[in-house]
Amino acid sequence: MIELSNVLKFYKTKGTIKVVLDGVSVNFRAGSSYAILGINGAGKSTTIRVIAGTELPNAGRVKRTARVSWPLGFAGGLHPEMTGRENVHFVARIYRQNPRKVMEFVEDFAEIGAYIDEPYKTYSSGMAQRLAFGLSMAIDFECYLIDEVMAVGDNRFQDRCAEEFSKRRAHSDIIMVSHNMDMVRQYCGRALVLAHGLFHEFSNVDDAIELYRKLNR
Amino acid sequence: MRNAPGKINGFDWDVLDARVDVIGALILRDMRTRFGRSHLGYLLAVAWPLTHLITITTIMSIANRVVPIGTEPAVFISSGVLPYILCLYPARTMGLSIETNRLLFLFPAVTPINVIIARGIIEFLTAALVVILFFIGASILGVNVLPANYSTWLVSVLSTIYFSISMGLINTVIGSIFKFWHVFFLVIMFGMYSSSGAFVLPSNLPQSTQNAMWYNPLFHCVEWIRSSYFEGYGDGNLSQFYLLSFATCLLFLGLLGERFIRGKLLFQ
Repeated sequence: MIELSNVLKFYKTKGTIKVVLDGVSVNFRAGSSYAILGINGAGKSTTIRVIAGTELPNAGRVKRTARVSWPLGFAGGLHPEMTGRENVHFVARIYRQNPRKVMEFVEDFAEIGAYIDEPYKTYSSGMAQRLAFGLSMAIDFECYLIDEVMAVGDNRFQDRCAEEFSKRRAHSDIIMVSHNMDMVRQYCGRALVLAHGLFHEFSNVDDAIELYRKLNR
Repeated sequence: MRNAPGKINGFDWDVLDARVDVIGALILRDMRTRFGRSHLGYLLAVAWPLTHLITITTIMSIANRVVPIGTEPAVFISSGVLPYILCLYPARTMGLSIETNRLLFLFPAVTPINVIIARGIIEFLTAALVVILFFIGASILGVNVLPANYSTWLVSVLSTIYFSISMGLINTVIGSIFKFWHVFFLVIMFGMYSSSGAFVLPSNLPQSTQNAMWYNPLFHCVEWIRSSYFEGYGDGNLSQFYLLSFATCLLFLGLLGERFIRGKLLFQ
């Protein structure tokens, strides 16, 4: 599904070099959902962006053979001056989906009513998140990338998100970064612990969580 | 993948199709968000350079009733100013394409080169529209600015736009590394404009000045466009080869630069 080979990723900050991925090779196989665990600052979010392709590795290759979502999380990326509808149409077009069908799904799922024809910048943060989240659900991704947040809004909307995700799991996989171990146990069958630029892969999530707890101490 | 594999002779047409869809979506979005948030806002992008062109042409034509060549001041002036307008606006707006669309890189399908290509296409259309509207306007007012040789004129205008878009690509690359570049570019552009022979006849100038002007690509744009109005004009100085090679070199340097700093363009 997604294959990283010899991926090197580093940052330069104030003269020091911070290595996030140190020549890492991993194969994310279709049919499994993965959690990426690590202490704060280990580079989990960067890793998700490298997997998504919104950041490039400094060396090595990332090969994607599935439809991979953009990193879902806190809202962003939609144009503040364009209306919700125009934004949805744009994203539907770049992902080669029928804009009308995507629109129908989003209107039904995000429940923002007449605001859909208002500029995105006038939305409350909850509405903005619901729209962005509904949009990612409207497009049929084979792999969802999740950075910390997988459910937004009030309790009722969070339940709908969880319900929608459960439906998706029949044919879509998830790669998620999370500090919420209950969520990791619920959704992921495999886990990677990121430490010192290297991945430690586990086929048993509980073993990975144990290592993560040790690192956190 | 949702679509059936479309590989023909080892070339994956689906990949190209997907890119065309992304670029199409970017074009629509760009036109809609250029000024305010309606397609009408795009008209401003056309009106701006058009007004600039009309203003300079009108003022300079009135100021110089006696022109060094031909009988119509508007022809001499507009053929000198047109290359400047066709270079300044597209190259400048293209140079800002990455900065104005940075938020979109959240979506992996939107890559820097797609954004640049989309902008390039829009700028090409805008420039063409400016030229067409200018000529329609002039004929309505009864000013005869039509060239003697239409094919030379068309090729020279298209070459000027090609040069401009290549310059826009370089602007994007350099401007995303050095922020002050966009100001510096305006200075370069003005230098090129004032040494392009827009308001003077180069053959009236000393040979040493002409030799120095020859290295200015904009000078060749002016000479080329004028050669479509006046028989035998530019025979001594005009080098289409120089202009087109210059533009092509910029294009390849820009593409090379984009590849090398792609990571930086995506994430800053």
